Amino acid sequence: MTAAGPTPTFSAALRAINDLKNDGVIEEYAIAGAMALVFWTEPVVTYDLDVLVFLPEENRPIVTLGPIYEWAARRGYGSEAEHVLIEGVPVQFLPSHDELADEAIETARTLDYEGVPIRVVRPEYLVALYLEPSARTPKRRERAAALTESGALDRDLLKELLTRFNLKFQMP
Amino acid sequence: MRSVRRSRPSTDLLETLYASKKAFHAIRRGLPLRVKVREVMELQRFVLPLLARQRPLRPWEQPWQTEP
Repeated sequence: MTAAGPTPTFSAALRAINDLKNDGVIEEYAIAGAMALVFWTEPVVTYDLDVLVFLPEENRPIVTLGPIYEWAARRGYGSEAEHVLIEGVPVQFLPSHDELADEAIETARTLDYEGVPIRVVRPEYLVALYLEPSARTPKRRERAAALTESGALDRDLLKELLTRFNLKFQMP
Repeated sequence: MRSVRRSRPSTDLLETLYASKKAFHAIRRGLPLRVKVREVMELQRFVLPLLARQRPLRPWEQPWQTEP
């Protein structure tokens, strides 16, 4: 994108995330956070696009986001404060941090946005991720509650996840 | 402590109000994705100036420079 070029689109940002996988920089991804919520329920305000990712195994105990930043730089995307500005959208890449996040990526649904296939974390996994002790805030509990009211949620699967990952939640 | 006795809405009225609120949210959940993404961007434009009055904005807290 250049200053004189066409206005970027959200679908172009999603296409670029697919490119990141096709180029082998990441193994797999799934949209998470508030923008995933938008796919399943009502729009909520958010300022960035969270993307859970599997990075290629490199026989190192600590993962690094370096290859993603290098890929972004090659494509002319700037980065600031752990966000990559892709087609006008600040994107934060979050390496999968535990087994729940692993499953959230593995079981993500492929949805369509303006002709672009995009992998989105299922609502049951979004609720579970919101309830993880490290992520739990009043805002996230509210979002978890909003998701349980959406028709898209499989309550049996959510109950199974809550039990298996030892998460507490009073379902509305 | 005031001792004014106020009239209250009936249970039926409250149920009607809650039901219409539920229907309103159901309609919003069913909006086309592109419309929802446009709404997220509109919310950013409304909310960020208010947020900026409360605290310094973080670098990524800007309205997205993109079309939905």
